[in-house]
Amino acid sequence: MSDAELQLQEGVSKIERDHSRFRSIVRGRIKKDLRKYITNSEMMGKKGKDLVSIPVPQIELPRFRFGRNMGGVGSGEGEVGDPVGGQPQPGDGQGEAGDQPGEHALEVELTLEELAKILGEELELPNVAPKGQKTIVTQKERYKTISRQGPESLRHFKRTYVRALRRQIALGLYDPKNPRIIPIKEDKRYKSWQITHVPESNAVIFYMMDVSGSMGDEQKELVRTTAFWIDTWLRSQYKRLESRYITHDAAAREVDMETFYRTRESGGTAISSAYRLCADVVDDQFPSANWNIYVFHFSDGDNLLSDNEHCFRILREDLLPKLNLFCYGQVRSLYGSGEFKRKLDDAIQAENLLTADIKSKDEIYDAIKIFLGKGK
Amino acid sequence: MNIPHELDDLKEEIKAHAIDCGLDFFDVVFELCTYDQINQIASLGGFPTRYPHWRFGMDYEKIGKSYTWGLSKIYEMVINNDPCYAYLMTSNPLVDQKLVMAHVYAHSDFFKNNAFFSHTSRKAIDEMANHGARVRAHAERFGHENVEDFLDCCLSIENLIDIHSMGIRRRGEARAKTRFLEQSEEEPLEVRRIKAKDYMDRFINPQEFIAAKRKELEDARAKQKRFPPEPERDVLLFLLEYAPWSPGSARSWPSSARRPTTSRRSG
Repeated sequence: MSDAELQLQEGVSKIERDHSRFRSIVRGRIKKDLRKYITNSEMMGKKGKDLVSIPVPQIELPRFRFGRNMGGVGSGEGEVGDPVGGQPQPGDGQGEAGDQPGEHALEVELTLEELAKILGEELELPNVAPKGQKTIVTQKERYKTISRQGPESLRHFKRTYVRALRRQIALGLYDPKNPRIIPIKEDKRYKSWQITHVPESNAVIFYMMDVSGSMGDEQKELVRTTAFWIDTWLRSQYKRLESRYITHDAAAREVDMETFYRTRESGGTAISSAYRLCADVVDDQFPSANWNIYVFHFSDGDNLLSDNEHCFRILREDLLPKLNLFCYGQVRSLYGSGEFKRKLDDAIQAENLLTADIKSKDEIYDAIKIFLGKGK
Repeated sequence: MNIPHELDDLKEEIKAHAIDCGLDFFDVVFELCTYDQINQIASLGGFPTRYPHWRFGMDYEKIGKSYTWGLSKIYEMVINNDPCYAYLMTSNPLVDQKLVMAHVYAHSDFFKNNAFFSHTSRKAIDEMANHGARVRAHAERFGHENVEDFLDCCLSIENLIDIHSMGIRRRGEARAKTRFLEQSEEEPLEVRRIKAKDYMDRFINPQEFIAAKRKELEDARAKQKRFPPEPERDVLLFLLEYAPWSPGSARSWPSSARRPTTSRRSG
């Protein structure tokens, strides 16, 4: 590798550090005293026919301005609340509201990745610890570079020696007859790690939703919002993520995302049908040795009474042993009892089974924290 | 990183044309970069290595977003260095590469011969890297936060430099060395008294009169010793020389902020 290339690569890692530091300042996590200098400028871009506004936060350090800094709001006599620029003029009250549409621009502030990061910070979510060593998508730390600082136990003897030798020769302190090399602090080099990414990783999320007659639009909205955040978070944790969607009333079927959120069915509720289908799909397509499997089930908890035992048995025997996580979120039921969560809690205690009540939008936050707070 | 043969051949050809045109330039090293590498180098002011600071990250975000959304593209960047370093973007079509290379030779000629630029340092890349290493060493020693806060302060007066200092010497070297604080060693002020016998002294040299005279003299001296005697243009340099730096011998820092150079073109 040539010198220039080496320099180039060093520069590359450096800009990442500078950039994340800048992002942290903008998000107000560090150096809070700089926040007051943040200005939000924007660039206008185009996406197809639409205008998009691309916000570009900038931090303007205070500086002297040349020339005459004239006037401006906030200088001179007067009380707070006085109109700027003389007396208020009574308007003439004519004219109508405009009839031309304004130019609307879509903001593209955040990438989903950034969103996930903020979510993780906000909810203090632990990073997911994937199961099964060989399937992990992880960052591996390997000691393969050299750094200027580090613990003495990792000192790289050869490099340190060469550095010291070089310095002593340069300073004329080296005596070939008495070749004593004494390293000083600046000479010392240490072994250091580099993070490498192991590319392959497999994760699949199953979303199951009760679409029986008792699930209204409001309930679906809750499910959709919760599912969106869960999806965003898990996507930030796995490089490759598959999503599968299952809806059920008295019978279950696998559907695509569109249908999942849009369908409204009627009919009774047999949750076991969905669990059965999920277990079958897992067995067929996602062998648990190679996949990190997440299942989220949303329902209003109004299950056919005689079906409960059936559900628990499938969970205990076919699902839980294979899954990273099974989450049950219960939205508020308009009609029914909403008993399923309580019964489920009573029937099964397992580390990878989590349940939460989502009665209103405000509780989505807590539910996500319960579901993802364990780092499974 | 080497450029592919076809570009290397072009380089030789273009160089010959440039010489034919009577250009006199530093040798040029071309590097082929991806857009992201170009953006990164551009946000570091054109240099591969610099001191760590968030503002480079800020520029990176701006340049990156603007490129991603197709608002601007940096297709040429050249550093005033000997040899000149110039970056070519991989995604440029061959015609663009030719244009850029030819353009860069003209830049190099300008860097070398322009009255202003001819005084600038030609080892900017190394200097920048050294500044970077020094700042990092200081950061290790005094804490990253402290060093960054200090750099923030330096950067907020970074425009108060004498941009003509390369060509114009505004003051003698000798004066720069005299220290402000040394003047306290001067002899004390003495008001001239009229000679009188001890018991008459109070009347012949009344105390109020002496005090008033002394004040007059002090004012005059203060005026004489205005500091600095002439207004200084290069505020950063002035501070560099006279400010009492707190964390040890950190005097060399602000020079990291006093640096022009590079040309960058984007469209």
